[in-house]
Amino acid sequence: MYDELFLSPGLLLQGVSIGTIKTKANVCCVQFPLDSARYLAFGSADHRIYYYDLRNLRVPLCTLVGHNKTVSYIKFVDNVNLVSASTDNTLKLWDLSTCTSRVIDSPIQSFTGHTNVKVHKQ
Amino acid sequence: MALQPLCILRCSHNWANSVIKYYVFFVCVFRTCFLLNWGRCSNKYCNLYLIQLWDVTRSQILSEMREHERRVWSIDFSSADPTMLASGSDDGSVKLWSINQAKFHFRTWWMSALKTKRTAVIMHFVYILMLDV
Repeated sequence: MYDELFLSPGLLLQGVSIGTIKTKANVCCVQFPLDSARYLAFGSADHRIYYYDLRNLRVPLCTLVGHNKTVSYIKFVDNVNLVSASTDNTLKLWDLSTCTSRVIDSPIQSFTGHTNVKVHKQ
Repeated sequence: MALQPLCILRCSHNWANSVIKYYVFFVCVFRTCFLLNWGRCSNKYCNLYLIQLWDVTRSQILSEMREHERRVWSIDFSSADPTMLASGSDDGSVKLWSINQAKFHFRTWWMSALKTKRTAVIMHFVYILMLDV
């Protein structure tokens, strides 16, 4: 009986968020850098990638501008370099170490070649 | 209240060697009425999207996070601090969670205790006693 009452499997605890970043557009992907838990990057439906310092959740540390459509996926390849994929058919490689200004509007490299069309099978 | 797992999102980074072992996430949706999530939603009924923290070794839920109002698309553990995780959702918010920070939630405990018939009877009498006091 004690087991059933107090050790019943699951649902005993409810997580409480320790911080919230509010943005206007949908958030598609979040990713921590490889080496630290202090920063966070996320790709958004407003075509931008935001890079936050988690000690200051109000203002992004830097904003990466350059995609023409929703950023669907991002991934850190090492501690400072970030690859982003978007529905505008491009992949872009960003360097966050040059993050002196708040906005980075030129990626190191842009990879094109993918197509984003629906294939109808006969 | 129907729970429908939409997708398994992520497993833990350090799979074997530390305090945290074998976590899997499910993102589910369940329908709550306005009264249950007071002040969170503007609609009378709104869907809350859950993130469930599962302990795979014992196959049970450890905790549940219900703060997102739209579908959750992405979750990531921090590899530097594996107790930290972030989740991004369609409601335009990124939420940060710590695995260690969870509160005892009376209602969820109550609901889970009510699931078995025998405890339901016991709980009923407990409830009556509580009202008496």
